[in-house]
Amino acid sequence: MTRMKRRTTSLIFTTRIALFASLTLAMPAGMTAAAQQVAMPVISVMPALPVTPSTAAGVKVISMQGVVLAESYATDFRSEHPQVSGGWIIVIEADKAVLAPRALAEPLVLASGAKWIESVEWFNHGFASGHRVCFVPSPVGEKGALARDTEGMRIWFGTPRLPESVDAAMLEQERALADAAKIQPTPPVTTAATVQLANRDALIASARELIAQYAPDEVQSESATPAAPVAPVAPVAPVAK
Amino acid sequence: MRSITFGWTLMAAASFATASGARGECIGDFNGDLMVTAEDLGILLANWATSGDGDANGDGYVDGEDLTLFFSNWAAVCPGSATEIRLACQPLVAAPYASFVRTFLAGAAVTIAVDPTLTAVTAGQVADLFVVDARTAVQWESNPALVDVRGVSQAITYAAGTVEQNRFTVADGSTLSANGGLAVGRGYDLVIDQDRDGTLSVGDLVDGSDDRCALWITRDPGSVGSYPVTTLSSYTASGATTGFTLARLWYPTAIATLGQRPLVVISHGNGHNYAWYDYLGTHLASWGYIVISHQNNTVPGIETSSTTTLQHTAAIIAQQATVAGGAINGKIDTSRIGWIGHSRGGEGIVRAYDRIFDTPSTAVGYTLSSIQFLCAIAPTDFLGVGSANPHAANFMLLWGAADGDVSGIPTNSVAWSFDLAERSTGVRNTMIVHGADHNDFNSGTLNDFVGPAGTEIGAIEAKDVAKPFILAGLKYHLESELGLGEFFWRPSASLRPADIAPTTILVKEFVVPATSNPIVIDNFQTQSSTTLSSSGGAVSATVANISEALARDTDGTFTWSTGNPHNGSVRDTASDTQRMIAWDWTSPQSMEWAVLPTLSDVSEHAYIEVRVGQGSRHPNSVTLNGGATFSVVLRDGAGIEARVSSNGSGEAVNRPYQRTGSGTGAGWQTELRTIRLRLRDFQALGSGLNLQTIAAVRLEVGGTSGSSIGRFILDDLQFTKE
Repeated sequence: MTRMKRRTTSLIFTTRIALFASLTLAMPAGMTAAAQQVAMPVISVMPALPVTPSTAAGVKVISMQGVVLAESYATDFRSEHPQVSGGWIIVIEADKAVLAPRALAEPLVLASGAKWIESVEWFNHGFASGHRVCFVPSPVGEKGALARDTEGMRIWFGTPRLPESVDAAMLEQERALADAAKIQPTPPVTTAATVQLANRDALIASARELIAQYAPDEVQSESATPAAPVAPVAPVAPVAK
Repeated sequence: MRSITFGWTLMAAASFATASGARGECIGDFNGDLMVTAEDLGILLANWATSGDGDANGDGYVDGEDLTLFFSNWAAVCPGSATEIRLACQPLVAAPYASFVRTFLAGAAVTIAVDPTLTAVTAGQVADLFVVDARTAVQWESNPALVDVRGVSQAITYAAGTVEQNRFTVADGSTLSANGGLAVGRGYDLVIDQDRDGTLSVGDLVDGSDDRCALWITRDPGSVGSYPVTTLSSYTASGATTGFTLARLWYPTAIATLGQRPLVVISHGNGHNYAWYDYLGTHLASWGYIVISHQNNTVPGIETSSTTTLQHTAAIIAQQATVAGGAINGKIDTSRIGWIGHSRGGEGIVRAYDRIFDTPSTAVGYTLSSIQFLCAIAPTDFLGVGSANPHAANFMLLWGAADGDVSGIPTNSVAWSFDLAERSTGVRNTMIVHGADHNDFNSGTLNDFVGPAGTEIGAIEAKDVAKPFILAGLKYHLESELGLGEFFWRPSASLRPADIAPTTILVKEFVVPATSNPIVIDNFQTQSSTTLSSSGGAVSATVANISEALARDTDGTFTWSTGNPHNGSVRDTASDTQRMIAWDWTSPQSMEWAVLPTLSDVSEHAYIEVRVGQGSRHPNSVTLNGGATFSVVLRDGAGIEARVSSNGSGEAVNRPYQRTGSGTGAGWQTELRTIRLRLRDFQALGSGLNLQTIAAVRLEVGGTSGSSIGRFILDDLQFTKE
């Protein structure tokens, strides 16, 4: 075999119209407008999965925005499928080896405060960019504010497993593992004012904007570009048998 | 062999049948093939001094009188029939000198062969070979006129000797048209017009008088099909999970001129992208399929992935009037759907099928029976047998042996793709692609190759493997293009799409379901004793270290140890029940299965076959350091034995991919392949073997029978039909 390996991508990046104008997120250090253009296909070697939980993952929160949903939804990131009515949409930066997409179980993304722990949803992987857009669920109080306290909040990568299999007991196990691994509180970041969103559709739209901003290689567009036809051969009638 | 009888000859045939106790229609034809040959002699001798078959004179006893009468009618062709035999073949340089196959790539030379020891022909006799457009059995009976598609028939002259001297190249065989429109290939039947009357009639030899073709001349399934393709880069599926509503659509641009076409749905893997399967969508659409690739909700897990597969399948059916401006409206054949899934998406499609199996209402706009083909590329196995079960669906598995993700690593059964295949009870075929990694089968940019330096085949080559075999699976299962089935088991040296390099190693498994009526000698499931087969016959052996057990590597390492005799088998999770047998040898040795009398008539079957792989990292495999060969011996009721080597058609048992890791040494998981040996080959060259009275099957290794040393893991020893 002498043919060279060649990989291409047909990913099409289009800048989305901002649907979430109230977000005032800072650009990550070193990211320029030019860097937001379509990333050239680069063949990356699949890194080995580091042991998690570990402080080595180096999780850093880049931005954080409170969200309250007018219409709750059942999350797929817990086996109990609890209703989610609010939380924080965050962008984290971490070791790319942890972020690499894998078919086998990936490390859970977890968040905890003094009295709570949650399975964090995520909307992209962030392997190429180093940035993952996530959502930390939180109950919403009677006055419409997010009920959980983020002071001393930890965000970390836990045991590799399918999020849809995670239940409350597993989360407590993960907390214990994090304690043993000496996972520290995530350095605080300025949290943007909580915004009201209609439903999960709006939440997804917001996440997409952030993906376009922080992980443009993972945008999946809706543009429609007809492909060139392949060379035709005149068809004939099928045979009898 | 099979005969067809024409209506006008029935009376003549009946009037000729005289002998009481004779199975056939004329004296000496004990097997009913309407010829008096060595096979009949074998029957007579097998029943010598009994009241069984072979009683030519009808006196209730088989003796010398019957023998005399038999020889008086030797080589007779009984009236009232043309005789169905296999003619199309690939020539072999050694015995049995011909490998009888049906499928030829367009442009390849086509050969026919006649074995004078099996078919009554006379040296010097001239006959006419006709290549005719394929006809069904009914069409042949109503229209026996011979019309050669080449314009003129071809005279052949039988020679003295064996089949080796009676092989004939089909003139202009390489120019036979393979254009079957929507079909990849085109069928032909072959007739040797013995009496040269231009009609299929008494005494003629025919291949294809039934509903199968003698020849399937096929275009290369890796080449672009007949139809220009229109691509809709994305559309939004109503009702799909938020965030996973986008899909891409490919369809033949001329869809308006076609009837309803099957639907193919592609479900990507975790971290993958629905836009990474253009190579497959375009290819399949060019052969007439309506194809979608959808966003797949794989991050939470397999359940969510299966949900998006179900949603998008329902959505394209429901939205066909509006998607692509209504171009495919009314064109989706909802009774014929194929699901292709990669990685978590591969398990996702199996889970989706399982969910419909459990709750039929899960399918909207189609039914469980609509899903006629599941193709999983390197699937995970998170859910296990209870939830990721393809049941009786037709199932194809592609897996790259250099997969750095769903790797088959012995410590994690989630990475064991072959679990899913072993659970399938439908028609299933698997293919291991040496040197291919997990992401070679999409257009992403992640390289997860793990394997020996110099063995990486690359993404282009992996796709060149995937395209023709997936197309063959779709055409075979959704459109009954049975000629393409030979791609599932014939070795590359015998049948290989042109874009696949000759050096690319493909290990193929093909397993037919119980509904195809195989005669199972031993599947190692229902009888745990190593001295008794699952069919109830005695098993004797001289091979060493026999172990019948679950196909499961139990110690978490591929390092060989005697306490883990099925080392390298990663096909059974803790909940699976697939059992196999393993043994090794260092000298000429064998294992023999007695065949119960109730199973002894295999004359209506075409092959003896077994799934077999080399024991990974076993010292014998390491010493062998290459392909392993063996021979199969069949013994009939008269004690006649015939032996065929697995090596006759290049059928060596592959050395496992020499990947390292997971312990010491080299060699990854045990790679089972199906080796099929045609029963006719056991009768070649006048062996006299009687396929109606098979008493034993023996696998021989070492000496002249095969490799001098090795270790095998085997399963599913059985006789199968075409």
